[in-house]
Amino acid sequence: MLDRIINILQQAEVSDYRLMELTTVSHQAFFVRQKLDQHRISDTVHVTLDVYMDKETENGRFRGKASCEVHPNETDKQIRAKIEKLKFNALLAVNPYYQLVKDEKYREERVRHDLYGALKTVVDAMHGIQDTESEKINSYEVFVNEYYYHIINSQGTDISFNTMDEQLEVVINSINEGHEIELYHVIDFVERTAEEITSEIMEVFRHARERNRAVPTKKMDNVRVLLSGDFNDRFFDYFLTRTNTQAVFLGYSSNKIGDNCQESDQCDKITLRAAAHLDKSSRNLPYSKDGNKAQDLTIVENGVYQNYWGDQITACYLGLENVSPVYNFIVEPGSRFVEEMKKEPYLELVQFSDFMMDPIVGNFGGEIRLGYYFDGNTVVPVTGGSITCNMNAVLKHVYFSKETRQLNNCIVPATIELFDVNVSGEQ
Amino acid sequence: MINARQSEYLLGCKEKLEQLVDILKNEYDYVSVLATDVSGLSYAVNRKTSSINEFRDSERGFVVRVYCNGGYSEYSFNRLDDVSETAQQIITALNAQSSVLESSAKLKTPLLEEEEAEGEFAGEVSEEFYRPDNEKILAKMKRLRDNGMAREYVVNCSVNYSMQLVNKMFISPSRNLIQAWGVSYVSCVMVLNKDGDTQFTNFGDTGWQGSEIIDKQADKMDQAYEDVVKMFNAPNITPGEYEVICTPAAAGLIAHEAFGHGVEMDMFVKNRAIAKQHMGEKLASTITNMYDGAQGVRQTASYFFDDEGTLAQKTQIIDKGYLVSGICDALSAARLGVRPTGNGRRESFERKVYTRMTNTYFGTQANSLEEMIKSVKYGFLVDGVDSGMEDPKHWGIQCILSRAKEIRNGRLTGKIFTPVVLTGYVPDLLSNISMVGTDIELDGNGHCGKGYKEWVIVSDGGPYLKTKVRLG
Repeated sequence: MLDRIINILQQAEVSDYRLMELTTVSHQAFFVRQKLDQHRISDTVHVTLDVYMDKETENGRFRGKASCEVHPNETDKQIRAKIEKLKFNALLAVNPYYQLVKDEKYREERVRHDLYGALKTVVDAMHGIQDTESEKINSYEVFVNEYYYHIINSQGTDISFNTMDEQLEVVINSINEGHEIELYHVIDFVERTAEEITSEIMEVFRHARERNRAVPTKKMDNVRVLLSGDFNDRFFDYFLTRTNTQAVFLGYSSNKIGDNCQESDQCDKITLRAAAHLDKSSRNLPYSKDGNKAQDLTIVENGVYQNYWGDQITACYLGLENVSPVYNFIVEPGSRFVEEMKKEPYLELVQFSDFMMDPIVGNFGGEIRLGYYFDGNTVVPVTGGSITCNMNAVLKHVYFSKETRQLNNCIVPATIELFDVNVSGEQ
Repeated sequence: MINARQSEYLLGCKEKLEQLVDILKNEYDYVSVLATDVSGLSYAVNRKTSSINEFRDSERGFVVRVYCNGGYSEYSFNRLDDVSETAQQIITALNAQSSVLESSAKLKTPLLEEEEAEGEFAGEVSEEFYRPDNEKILAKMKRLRDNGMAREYVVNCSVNYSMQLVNKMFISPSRNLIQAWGVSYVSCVMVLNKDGDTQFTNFGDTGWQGSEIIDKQADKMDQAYEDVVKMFNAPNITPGEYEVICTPAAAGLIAHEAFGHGVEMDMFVKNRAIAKQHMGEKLASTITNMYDGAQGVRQTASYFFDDEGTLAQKTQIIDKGYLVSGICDALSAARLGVRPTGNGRRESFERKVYTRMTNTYFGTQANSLEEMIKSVKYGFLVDGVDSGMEDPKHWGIQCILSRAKEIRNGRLTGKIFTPVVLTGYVPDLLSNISMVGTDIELDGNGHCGKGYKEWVIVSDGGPYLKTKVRLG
């Protein structure tokens, strides 16, 4: 397919082109309780074509880009017509010139995984989970996917690689004295054993049980909050957005390299590094869709922004010669053990209805699904109420745990300690 | 305006797909195929660049659904060459997967009994959908962008406009349906920076019309800018229960999260929605009516038949405060012994059908916004939809809104609080609705997920509403 399109492109007088062929095979199974609702297989090939047209004017050199998908059953005549439309549209929407990634080469042959076997491993693991007296599996969905990318551009870049990922979405019910609640949990992963899957689901069982005996969260002012949930990665996503080339280019982030986001002594300074590869991550893509190689890169060090990351076009506009995508990241541990953080009264939050992070303004928070309040004597599970915080204020006084945990494509402190948080709750 | 044209590609595939169904029906008790051809252009301009690309949800592909040994399975693909080979590939792959899952008991599902239906449906669209003047469209967008960029503190103004043509064909032994319609979307985002603080605002419009919707955004920009400037250094709201007036956008978010997700009947099959036990009960004030439907309004989630070949309809969910109906896909309907409502939708041909909302909105009454504001001693007018999350099991609701305008003694004070987390118990919130406006406004720029995936385009809205709810 790609050869056919390239042949047509070579006669089409385009300034440059980029093609990405993505072959996806996905095996899926859906269960209600432990009964099979339905199963699915998806086997597709998608080809995306970008056409670039250059224009010289008295104001300098400009470049326009237009894109479309070329469908598998399209004829040469149809593809030619599409390219002509792309050329026309590209010249209508010209922008300052930028270069494509040049001469990057990486080749992997397509690998066919045993997706039937991978699906069975997850399903068997789920079938092996016994309901407890109070907790049961309501429903779950399993997806196992393999991808083969082939990226070619007219500047000599030719990259192909395989990736795979799996996803388990599970809903758990817990019943206590006739009151039933549910917890929704998603695991994105690759290469997990049945035991690892079971262990994570048992932890969700425990949270469901705790939530079901939780009391309403009280309204509290200036409380110390410990964030200890699966949403902790989204707290650190803030720093990735602030250094993303597109966010900087479009003005969503005003941060510059060298800016210190933590000019305070009352905090653990953040160090966040992008990792080209992270074991057990489902996001180990070696290259971006532009053809840029994923690199190990320090994004923030001791609270100071060190490097931008992002896409080829906006990186060129920011004057960067090399840019890396970020698919995995690691945040360095903080200065306190979780046990130390828990010596004084605290509100520990482990589940939100939906943890909201607005990386542009810096607001974050949400409605509390499960937390633990320690008044100095006893720990009580709580639910309901909400918190709303702002990063600009939080970063002046924040500590991270020495303990870390992996959340699919990142390793982050297991607990984040915030101060003077107002909690909306029962009066 | 003209009738949208049926896809030549789909019509060209029809014979092959009918052959495919014929072959597969020898193997399976039920066979259907949905073919999709979704295309369109997306135009974008920001402070420095512009682009024209294919619409983000464009696709072309097929999904076959079969029933065998008491269970359903599906196969999605997008190459259609030799029909016999394709049929054999489907049979081999699905049989292999059935063997792998052999140890799993099946959820009892009756065979779908489809009534005979045949038809060709087309929505009215502007001729521009087929012959867009790209230069003119970009020029309009750049004028709007320049209007935004000329304002104090604005560091970027992005304008996005899309025209989408949707074509779908459904073939089964008893159904032969084809449809075409078009939708356009415009959205603007202004980013402001003042002394290192960043704020942003977004607004837009959607519908079945063409690029004239871009022209209507300049007035919205004035209001959005006036509000966002006040958000710099705006205080957080003191958590508590308040009298609250919701704009149509905020009302739409509540409709969507409250009894939108709460009455998706695939959740009834899983016993995940409390609404199942409360059908026919009074759960809202008597002035509250709520609807969902791909028919009844012309918006981004309007269509003629759904992704399972069920003809679309308008469903009244709440009638004078009473919960009277859910919304349902075909498989869930078969399991529950009810009729489907035409709400079986897929993210794409590559994904499963779930019960999904379409256009979800509150009905109107007779109150003006001025009356509502005058009636508030201390409260807020909330606006700026960010996100929402529902809890159909317990009717909990969380809506994140960007701003709350203070009302004191029946007047807007000009003071804004941000951000706003609206939380509560759905029947309380709906029972507290004491005033309802006269005009429905719908916005279809949003995508709705099932959990955190399966994104489909929906619209929601309503008139202005007054209620009492917790803000934090």
